[in-house]
Amino acid sequence: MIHDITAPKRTWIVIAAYNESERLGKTVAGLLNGGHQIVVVDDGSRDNTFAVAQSLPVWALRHPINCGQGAALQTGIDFALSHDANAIVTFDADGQHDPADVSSILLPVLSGEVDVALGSRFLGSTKNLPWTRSVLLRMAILFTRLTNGLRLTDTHNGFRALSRMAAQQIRIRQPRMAHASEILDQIARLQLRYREVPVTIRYTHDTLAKGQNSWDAVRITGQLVAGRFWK
Amino acid sequence: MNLFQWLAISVLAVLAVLEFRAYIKNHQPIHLLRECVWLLAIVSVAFPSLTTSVASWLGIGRGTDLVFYGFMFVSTGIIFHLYGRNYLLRRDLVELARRDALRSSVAGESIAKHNTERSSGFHQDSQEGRQ
Repeated sequence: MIHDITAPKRTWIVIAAYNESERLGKTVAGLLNGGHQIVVVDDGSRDNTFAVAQSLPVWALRHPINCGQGAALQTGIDFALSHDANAIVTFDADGQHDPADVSSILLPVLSGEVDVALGSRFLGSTKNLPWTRSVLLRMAILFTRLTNGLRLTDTHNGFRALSRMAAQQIRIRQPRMAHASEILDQIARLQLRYREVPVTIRYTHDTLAKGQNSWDAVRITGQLVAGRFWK
Repeated sequence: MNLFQWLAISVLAVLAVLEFRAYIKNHQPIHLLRECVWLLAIVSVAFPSLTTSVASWLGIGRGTDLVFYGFMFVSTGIIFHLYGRNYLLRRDLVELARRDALRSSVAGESIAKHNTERSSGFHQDSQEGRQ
């Protein structure tokens, strides 16, 4: 089956991928029947992620060097906006998100109810979530509540949907993992309407190996502080 | 003065002269700041008792401790400054990488097939039209 990616579909899925050649195909395959445009941003991978992306019915972009997930997402968002996207979903390349949740996360944005829909694994469900990761995520929730006042149940979930207006206003400047907190800061600062949507996250051995650890939490805090000093 | 003082002062004096020449050339305040650092170092090396006097006046005690604390503060400032420079440089690098990525976007395999099919269909249509 040939998917026509030139058709004027205005909902876009942005996937930032770094060394994901083994999992990207499966992740994209789950999204193909949703009727969305898909853009994969290869963030300077050392494996053949870009070649895999090119072999799929998606748009493929490539950073010449590894810039970080935040930077790759912003590149994908810029691309989608330049192609007249009216809503943009950010989706992880490693297959931990459930493609079945895309329509439910898009719904409040497309209906105009909110500007940003944020996926929440704690409202939805998680599979194989280690307790250490759970503690880390709950600390992040507390940090977010203290720094920008947003009362959320999940703050570091890469599954989110943005309206065109929100995507135009939010500018991800944190190139690496701190972008998740930065997006929330901007939602609060710009007073965008938001809502959490239950989503499913599936943890596997591979996704956990690439995920964040306690040291990353310290690093993210440092990056956020640095971002406030040097604008 | 001992041998170390002669050597250290000679090196510091050369640095001070070069810094002064650089200031005269482009009038940047950073050169004046560095000139002050070199001159202060010359005075400290030439008159070690002076740093001890300043240290005891500040309540630190030894001149060596005063120099050590000064070094610590300056090093921290320099690390902070370099971190900021690196942070901004990385941001510029990301912007360049992004421009490059957006300029060279590639449509996946199916779009190539789609275009081929469309152009062959167009070719067929135009041939039929001619007949």
